[in-house]
Amino acid sequence: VSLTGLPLILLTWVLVIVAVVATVRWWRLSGRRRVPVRVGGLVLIELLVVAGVGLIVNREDSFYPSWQALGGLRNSVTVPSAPTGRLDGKLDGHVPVTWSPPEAAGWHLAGPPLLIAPADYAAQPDRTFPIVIVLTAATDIRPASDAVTVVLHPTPRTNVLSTPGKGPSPGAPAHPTPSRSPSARTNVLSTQTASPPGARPGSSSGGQNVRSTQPGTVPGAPPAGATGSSPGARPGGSSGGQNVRSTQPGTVPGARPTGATGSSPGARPGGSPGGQNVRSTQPGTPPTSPPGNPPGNPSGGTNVLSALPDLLARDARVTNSVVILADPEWLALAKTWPGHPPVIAGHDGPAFEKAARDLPAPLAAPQKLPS
Amino acid sequence: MSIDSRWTVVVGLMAVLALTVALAFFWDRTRSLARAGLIALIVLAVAATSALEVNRLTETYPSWSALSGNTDGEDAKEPLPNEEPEEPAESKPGMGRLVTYQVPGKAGGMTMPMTVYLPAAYFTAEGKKLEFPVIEALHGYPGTPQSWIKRLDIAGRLDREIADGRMAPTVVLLPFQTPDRLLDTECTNMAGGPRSETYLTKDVPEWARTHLRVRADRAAWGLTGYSAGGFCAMNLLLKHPDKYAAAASLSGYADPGIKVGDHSEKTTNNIAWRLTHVPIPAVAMWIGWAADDRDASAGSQLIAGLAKPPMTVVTAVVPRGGHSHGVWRQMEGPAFDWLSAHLARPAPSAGDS
Repeated sequence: VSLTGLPLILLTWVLVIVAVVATVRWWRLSGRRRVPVRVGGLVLIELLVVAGVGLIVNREDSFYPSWQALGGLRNSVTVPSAPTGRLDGKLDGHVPVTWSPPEAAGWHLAGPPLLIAPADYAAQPDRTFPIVIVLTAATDIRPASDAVTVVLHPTPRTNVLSTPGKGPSPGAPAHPTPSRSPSARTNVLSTQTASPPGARPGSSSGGQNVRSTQPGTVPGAPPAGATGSSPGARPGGSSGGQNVRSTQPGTVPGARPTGATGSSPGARPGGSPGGQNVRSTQPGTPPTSPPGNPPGNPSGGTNVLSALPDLLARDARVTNSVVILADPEWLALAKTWPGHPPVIAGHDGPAFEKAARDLPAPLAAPQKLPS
Repeated sequence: MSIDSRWTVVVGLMAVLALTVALAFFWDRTRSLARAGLIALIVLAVAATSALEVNRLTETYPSWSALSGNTDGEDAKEPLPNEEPEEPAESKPGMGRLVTYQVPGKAGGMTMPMTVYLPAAYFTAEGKKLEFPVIEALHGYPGTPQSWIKRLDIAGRLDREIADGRMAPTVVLLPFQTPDRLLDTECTNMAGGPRSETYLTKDVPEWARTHLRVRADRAAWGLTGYSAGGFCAMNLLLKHPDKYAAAASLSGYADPGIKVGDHSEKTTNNIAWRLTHVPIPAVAMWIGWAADDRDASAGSQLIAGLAKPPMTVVTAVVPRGGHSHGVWRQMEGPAFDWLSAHLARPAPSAGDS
């Protein structure tokens, strides 16, 4: 019988009437049983009236929609097991490790990204760390404490939103182009892979020469895809070397939905920044998006770099909380990051301290409920 | 005997029983006037006992003095500016502390007591150099901050989440959201009534910044609440994205369900309206409900469906439990964990660095 159903309420009130009639009928019972019968009848009436009122109130506001709700609940809270990153063994603190996810092909960097784990990364195996992204030409980065540092050496083509043809045009990096469809994106990627990623921008027409000298300055970062870089970080499964890149047009489309492999809560509708799935649906937003929506945002739909936190979550224990430190020339680029994470100029000590202030603490896996 | 103890209700039940026995026993020896009087007393006793039990559930009047009209804050202390709360004398390690202060409503006009959870780290030598993130936790209607403390054991839960590393040490504020316990403000500025929104988003934060070692910046401020407080948390976050970065709603609604007096319950104080008519701010929301809680489930799902970037939403569903403390006791841990993961960490004050 449903706790909030009419049958139970009607039954209760019928019983009230029955109890009243019976109590009146046997009120003048003779002998020793008179008082006990009266007390029993009255108490029964009192209980039934309170129950009847309570059931009506409960039906109106559904405080307890079921008997189970009234009688106590089965606990549905779960504590997920501690996360692991595939590079955890290598990331034991303050030593830069090259990180070469296949997706980095689309980022047009001057060299593979560098990861620097905080000093206590290995000592706190149950914690996930927020991310500090550094956009810089420099290589001597003092890493953040209590956060995983990702050093990216951008090139003018690292315009996260533009097509390869547009990259070299002056000023383009700062200005998001209109959203592109996911399929258009894929094409962009595969055409780009024709030239090695992190390739010298000099090869692109009009690339600034300043940048083209950079790859040589990255220590321990041989041309992208070198053998030392993250084993197992390649869903394609192809075995190391630059060859990976040349086979990429085939592997990249398949590699894209990797965001789904992580625990990434970003995959939810309206999900967190960095959720690729969310973004790929975005070209449809303009008709429904309210007027005055921050102009920078919808164009996040094709931001390849925005997938970085999700990609990194496969390889290291990171959350998707991000702060970006950027050299002056990359500030505009940093500000196009979807979700508008804090952007701080420079990468000196105070800048890292400021970044740490803006980020959550490293935490153990949260308790979760089904969603 | 406290008004919200189980024994108070038991005493009420004994009184009902005694009066019932008296009626049965003396019926034949008294005249109709006395009989009527006894019956009236029984009705009164049944009603009063039921009311005591409802009050015990909601903590609307957590003390006898609250019932008699005094504010709860008689024992609240008004600390001098920068006065440090003393270290708890007899607390176990890892145990936070609840302290009650009187918070004047300079802008909102409401002067109310507020209970504050100070994490254990607040009192350590290392913690004394830090400023902590803040969560404002809002109660339901009817209810008081005592509902969080007694029914949801907020202090014990926060202690556990912090000790297990799922949450950073955080200062949690438990303000009143109405000066009149039977007036449902839904944390709005009511036309011709209390200015609850101003009190909660201006007076309370300003007081906390001047009296407690808490961070002043938006990135470290969050909101939570259950039932009406869930609506409050989401509504205040969307209305004041310059002051709060994240909110967690436990069985909250999409609209206030009251008349604010200026029809804003249909517009600016209506979350569904805001999400479709006002630019959406870059904030983060955790929305939890029980699948069998009809109204909160409909409202919460409406909000989750309307949310668009740059706002982010995470949902959490308890399979059953309705609109009850049992549900919120399950939700508060995950909600606090999520909030802490979306708020800036405890850090040395910006002036020092």
